[in-house]
Amino acid sequence: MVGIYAKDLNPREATREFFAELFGANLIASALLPARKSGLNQIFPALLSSKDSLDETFPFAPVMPLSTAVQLSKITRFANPTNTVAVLLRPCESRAAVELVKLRQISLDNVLLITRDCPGTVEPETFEEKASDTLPGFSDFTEEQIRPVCRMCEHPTAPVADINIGTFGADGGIILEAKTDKGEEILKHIALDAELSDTSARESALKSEAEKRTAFMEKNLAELKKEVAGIEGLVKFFAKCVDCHNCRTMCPVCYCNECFFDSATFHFEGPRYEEWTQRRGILAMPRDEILFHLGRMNHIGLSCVACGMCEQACPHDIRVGQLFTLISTTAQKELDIHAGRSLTDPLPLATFREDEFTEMGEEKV
Amino acid sequence: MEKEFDPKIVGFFCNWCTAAAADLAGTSRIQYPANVRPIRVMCSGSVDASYVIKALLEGADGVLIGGCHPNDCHYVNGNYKARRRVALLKSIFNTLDLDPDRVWLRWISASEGVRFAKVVRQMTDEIKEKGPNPMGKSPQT
Repeated sequence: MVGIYAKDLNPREATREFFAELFGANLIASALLPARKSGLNQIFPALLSSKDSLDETFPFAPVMPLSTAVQLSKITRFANPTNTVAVLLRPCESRAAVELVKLRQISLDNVLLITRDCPGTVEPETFEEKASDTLPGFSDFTEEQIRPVCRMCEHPTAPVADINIGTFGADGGIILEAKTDKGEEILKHIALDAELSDTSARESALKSEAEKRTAFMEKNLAELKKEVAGIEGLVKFFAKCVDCHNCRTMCPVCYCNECFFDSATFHFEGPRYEEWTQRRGILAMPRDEILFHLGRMNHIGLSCVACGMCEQACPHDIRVGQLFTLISTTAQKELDIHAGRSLTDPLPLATFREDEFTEMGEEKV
Repeated sequence: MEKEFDPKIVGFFCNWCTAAAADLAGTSRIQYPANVRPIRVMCSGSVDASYVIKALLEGADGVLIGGCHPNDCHYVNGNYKARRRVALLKSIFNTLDLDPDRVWLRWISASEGVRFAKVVRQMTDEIKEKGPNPMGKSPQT
């Protein structure tokens, strides 16, 4: 079912209204939504127990301090809530959540997955600068202020959701679309203004948005590829890296409790350092940051949803999210893997197909 | 005269096939270049990409991963998983212009001592042709 909802309201108000209806009809017991941190100009996900606090929520705030997928993992990893919790995610968060479901870090029992179209986000600092009593919206920012990973994002709408809140192609209000049976069941209880039988306006809006972003991506990544070429390019790209691992910490799909790169494998004794120094003459410290980045590319490159949380977390503004977008989009295309596409897709690195890369390993000698 | 480049190749050899093939090549007195530093692993599927990258960053000129032929894995399917991981590693290396051809995956069964010797010879020749690995030469790596 696809329909127009609250056509006299703007998307923010319409979405608040929609959640108020969900609470009012007892369809959900709680909701995880982007909300203003009390008295501050920052937006973080918050759990609401009733519609009373909906005025504090800003469903379309163009800022993402962290991926809500990780917060959803915290809520559902050990035991699911007893009553239905609705979660509002943007497309990259939904795609990260799909990967975390595949990795058994999220369970969707008692979770109503609601996604919303996303035009892009700015960094939290940029958002804060523009904010006063009223918080800025997407149109308050210039294109250059939008994070480059967002401008390259080929997913303006989420592939997996129970219900999607559409803004592309909406002429007032929001477009509610049920994408699962659960979503259909919920929408039966919601008073839509009209069913949307002709979705061509929405489809063409989404298509032209995706095309614009693909064009920017191709140009931007082609330049980046030239810049990082070879080990010299890579070393230069990561020259300011302090090996803090913030990028890994904020990555929604890097889920291991103990990361290999923090493990005792890298606790070396003094004589080893002496030996390396003798061999090389000069040994840059800290060691292994190139190994860390290349290793992480191999560990999560096929699950990377290009949300750019790594880049936002980098204390030295290394464009690590753009680099990961470069390697992950290329590798995912080449290996026919689609991160975040479907809950039933197999895990990329724990599975295989007998008929793939069949020439590999077989070379006759 | 400058000394001829003598490549260092790190080998990760599956215990059940390639490591046995290396043994067989030795006991059969088949001659092959001594450029490979073999490391026996329990399965090619246990070779994490970070081991391969670490070897290359530490100055190895090539990495040879030896596993069982498809459908022969001692652990049912570790070699298939290794194959996908190597494909990913090569894709990433290719994108970053890091020479994916320094990493070889070869299926060499326990009975293929002759194939083992030929693979090592071929790889040594090709790496010699390429010259030293620039990844291991930077003080920053």
